[in-house]
Amino acid sequence: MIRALPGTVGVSGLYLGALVVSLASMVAMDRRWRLFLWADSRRGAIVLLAGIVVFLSWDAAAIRLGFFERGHGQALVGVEIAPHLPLEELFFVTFLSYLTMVGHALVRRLLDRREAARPAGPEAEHGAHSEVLR
Amino acid sequence: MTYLGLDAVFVAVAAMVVLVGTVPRRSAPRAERTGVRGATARRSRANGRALTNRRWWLATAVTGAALMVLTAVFDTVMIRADLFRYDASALIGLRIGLTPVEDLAWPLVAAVLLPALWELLGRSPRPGTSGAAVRAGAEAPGDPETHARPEAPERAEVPARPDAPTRPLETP
Repeated sequence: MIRALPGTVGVSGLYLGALVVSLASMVAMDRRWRLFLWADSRRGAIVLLAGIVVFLSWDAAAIRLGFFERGHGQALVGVEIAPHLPLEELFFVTFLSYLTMVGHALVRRLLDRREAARPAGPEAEHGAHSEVLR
Repeated sequence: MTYLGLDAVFVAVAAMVVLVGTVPRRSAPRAERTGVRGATARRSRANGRALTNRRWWLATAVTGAALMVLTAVFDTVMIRADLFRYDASALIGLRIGLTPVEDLAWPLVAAVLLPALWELLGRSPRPGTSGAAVRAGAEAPGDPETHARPEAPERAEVPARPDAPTRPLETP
C-alpha cells in the first residue's frame, strides 16, 4: 500500500486515495466471489452500516474524551466532518468493516471447502463444496 | 476513563451480540427440519446457529488475527505520517511499533461483532426460496442458495440435465 516514511508523504490526498483504492479492491473481491454485499445485499448493507456507526461512535467518544486528536500529516486532505474527525476516517471505518466481512467470508469458504474435501463427518452435511474460488 | 476503558465498552457490546446468538435455542432444530415458514421467532433463533459452529469461530479467529497484524503495521505507518495523535496520558503506554495496544480492540471488535451480526440477521427473504432458506439460514455465506440467484445463470450451463447423454448409461 503506502509507504509513509517521513518526507515521503507530502501529497495531499494520499491517505484518502489509498483508502479508496483499498475499498475498491474489497468491492472487486466481493463482486468476483459473492462474499458480502454480492452474497446478500440487504443483510450486507445492514452489517456495513452497523460497522460504520459503531466505529464512528468509537471515534467520536475517543475524541470527546480527549484520547484522539487530528494529526497534521500532509497526506490528509484537511477536511473534517466533525472536530478532529477527518473525512478519511469515514472511508477508513467503511474499509475496516468491508475488509472484515470479505476476509471472514473468504476464510470461512476455504474452511468449508477443506471440510468438504475430508471424509464425511458430522459437519459435512452441507453442499458448501460446490463453492469454489475460481 | 482511559482509552482502554472505552475499548472495554465496545468489546462488551460485541460480546453481548455474540451471547444473544449463542443462547440455547430449544425449538430451532424442529423448525429447521420441518421448514416452517413465517415463524419469525423460530427463524431468528435459527439464525444465530453458526455462532456455535467451530468453523465459524475458527474463521473469526483467523480474521481477527490477520486484522490485528494489519492494524499494528498500518497504524504504525499512519501514526508516523501524523494522520492522528493520541493523548499519551490516556494510554497504558504499551505499544507495538508505534501502535498503542488499545488500538487492537478495533480489529477484535470488527472480527467478532460484524460476522456475528451477519449470522444473527439471517438470510434475506427471497422469492422462490421457502423452507430451504430457513433450513440453511445459519450456514451463510458459502452455501449453495447464495448462488441459485437469477443473476448467476452461467452456473447452470454445465451440470447434467435429464436429457443429457449420461442418461442412457443409467437406464438398465
